[in-house]
Amino acid sequence: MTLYSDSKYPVRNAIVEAHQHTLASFSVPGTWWTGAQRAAIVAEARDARCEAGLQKPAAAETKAPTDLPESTRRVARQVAVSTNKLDRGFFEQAVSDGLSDAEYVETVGVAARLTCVDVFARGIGVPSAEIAQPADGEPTSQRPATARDEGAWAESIPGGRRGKQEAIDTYGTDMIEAAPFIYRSLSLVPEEAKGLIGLGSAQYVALEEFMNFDFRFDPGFSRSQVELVAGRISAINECFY
Amino acid sequence: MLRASAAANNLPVNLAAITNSSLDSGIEDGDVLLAFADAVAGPDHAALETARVRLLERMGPGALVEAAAVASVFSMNDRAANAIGIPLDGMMLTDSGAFRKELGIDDFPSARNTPGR
Repeated sequence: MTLYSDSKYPVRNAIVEAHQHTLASFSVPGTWWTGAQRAAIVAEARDARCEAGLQKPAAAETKAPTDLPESTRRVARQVAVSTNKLDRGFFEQAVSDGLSDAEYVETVGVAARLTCVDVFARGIGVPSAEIAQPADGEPTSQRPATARDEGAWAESIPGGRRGKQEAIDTYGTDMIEAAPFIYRSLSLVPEEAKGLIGLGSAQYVALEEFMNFDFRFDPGFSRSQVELVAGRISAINECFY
Repeated sequence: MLRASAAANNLPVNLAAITNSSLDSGIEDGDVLLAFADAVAGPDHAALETARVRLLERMGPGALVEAAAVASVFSMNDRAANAIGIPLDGMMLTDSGAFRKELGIDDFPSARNTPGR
């Protein structure tokens, strides 16, 4: 059975593939967390969303014991449920409690991407997909050399030539306009940034079509309708960006 | 981008519907889309079922999938933006100044992440 074959409504291949890639990424070693730790972040995020009534538990979901730090659990749970009231103090507290800035970013990335996949499933009326058993292996522990303070709480890889090869590897190009801040948000952990960009391209609009207001993934769903849903969700989430 | 996309297609739009979903957005089928967005982001499973059925009846299964895709990807983007504290890109900051205050967007806690707004 392939992902979303249980849906009553056909799901575009681009979404299926992006979600398969996303789900697979949750149980393999990341940049700072092992596969078991990333799977535990997913379990914490889902547990928090279920407790908040935002989704129903997956059928066979169990929380395996891991060495995930308490501060990581707290970040995963908060990000999965609501980020509306967060301020810089939330990030600073996590770092003060022992998380590195990059571990924080990876945790946010996993919880945010998990939310994307699970909100989509709930939206079309199918259960959240299970993730695979965690794979063995060590995190890569590679911090981007070009990462710098660009005004967010965590450092990011600049777009354009300042980001050098890391910008090309992460954003697909060294054109500065191809790296809006939302693409750069998770770039202290480039794999998380690439995951966010991939989901955006599959589900919203690819950057090259961003100013093409006639572009549609579905003929019955106009760009204005896309932006109405997007704007309403961002208002609910009190997202100034 | 709602304002820009509507203007590009000569459509009237009421931006206030973004922060008050009981208002008429002016966008075709906007009422069912706003109800779906509210429900998929909230905890009321029965309300989501109702919103999904209304959207399906009015717009069809392709639109339901697209609405879920957009709602979910912005659920991700908003979390990343708010939890990393990113500021608004310069061009967007300039273009949105006129309506942000009117809609209360400048009062969102995450607005603090954008100096000089």
